[in-house]
Amino acid sequence: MKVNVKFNLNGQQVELETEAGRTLLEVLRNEFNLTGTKKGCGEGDCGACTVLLDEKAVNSCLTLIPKVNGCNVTTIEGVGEDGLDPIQHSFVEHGGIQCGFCTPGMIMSTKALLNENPSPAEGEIRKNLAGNLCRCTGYAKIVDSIMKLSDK
Amino acid sequence: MKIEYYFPKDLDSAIGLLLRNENSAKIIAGGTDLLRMIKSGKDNSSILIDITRIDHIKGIRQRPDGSISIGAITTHHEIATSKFIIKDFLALSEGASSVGSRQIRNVATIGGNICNSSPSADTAPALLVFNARAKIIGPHGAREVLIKDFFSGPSQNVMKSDEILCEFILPSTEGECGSSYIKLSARKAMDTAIVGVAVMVQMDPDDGICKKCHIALGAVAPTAIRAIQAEEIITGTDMNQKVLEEAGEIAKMVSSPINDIRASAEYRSEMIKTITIRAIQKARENALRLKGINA
Repeated sequence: MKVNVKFNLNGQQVELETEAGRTLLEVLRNEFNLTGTKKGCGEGDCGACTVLLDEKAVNSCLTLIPKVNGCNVTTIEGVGEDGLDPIQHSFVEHGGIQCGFCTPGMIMSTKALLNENPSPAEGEIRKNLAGNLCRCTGYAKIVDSIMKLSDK
Repeated sequence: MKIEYYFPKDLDSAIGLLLRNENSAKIIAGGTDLLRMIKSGKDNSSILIDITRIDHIKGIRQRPDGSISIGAITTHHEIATSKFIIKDFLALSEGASSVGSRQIRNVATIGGNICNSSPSADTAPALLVFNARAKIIGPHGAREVLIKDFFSGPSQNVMKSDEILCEFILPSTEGECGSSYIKLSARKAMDTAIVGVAVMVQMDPDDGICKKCHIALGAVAPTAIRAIQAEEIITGTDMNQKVLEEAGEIAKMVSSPINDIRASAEYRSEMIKTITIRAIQKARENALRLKGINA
């Protein structure tokens, strides 16, 4: 079934006519060429596909495109207005990135958290990132990068 | 995926869609369970009826008679962070908080959790100890079903294919009850319970006697269950360690855990006792704290 979907993508109004059964992840990558959002598992377990839907972190691999009609969608490409967002800057500065595959998801989840709570405790940071898997870092420097942000 | 997708504006339209498309249509809310099943081929629904834009089935509110209404499409995150639920129905907040990840909890709903009817559903034990009921709407009107009568087997419930669960109703605890939900799982998150225990207790603050105790077990029987015989051991006592051990043993006896990929039946059986005791202790502490007493 074809659907017409209008939504705000990274601050811009967009419109798309497409098959209802496509996921937001696949549409972002293939219709909008926004390849910063990654497919890790396709099942909502790894968080590499995390985007913000109306400011809330969601797995875009489990979001069918009709669901975003009338909503705000923010991807990693929409983060950082003039250069890097402070979160991105902190990850770079404090070694929170190795291969980088999990990083967009980590940043999006963190952005959502810091919008709600600018100074989360370590436990909150870790709980917030429970749905973002990283195979490289062991999470220590990722958590560090976020903790160091809220010190500022 | 070849899917038709609809956003009905109200429940009647949603029911109409279900009726016209028997066997190929399903209700979708958060979709985090349903989409996984469709992607893996376990579900072959081709018509999805999205009820998340029907405002009156969302949210937590107090009804005129003092009972609490939780809309079926209220998300786990909303329940986990609701000050009101944390204060008066802590076990439910803890259950919702233990589901999946933040990303999942942001969209997954309590209605979906219960309709999926997994024996290990994390909100089921709490709903059982609070004597919740589900309001279900169909083509012939509405009916209410106690959660204890809702599940009929693993992934099975009493709903018909043309019905929609729209609301949970919980009798008020009047700020008198402490509760707790403990989930034993291999991982700290993103995992199914090996054993899940919810406990609700009402204490007499003057003599420390338990006036009321409800215990519900998840993941250790074909459905989530109340452990009535274990409750009876505790009620009227001072909840000393010996009594709790007895209750834990009985909880173990009334369960029927299975071997599966997460744990052996034997391990689950042992853990039922351990987790039940811990959950009772935490519920008791919570009850005493509500009364301003340091447990």
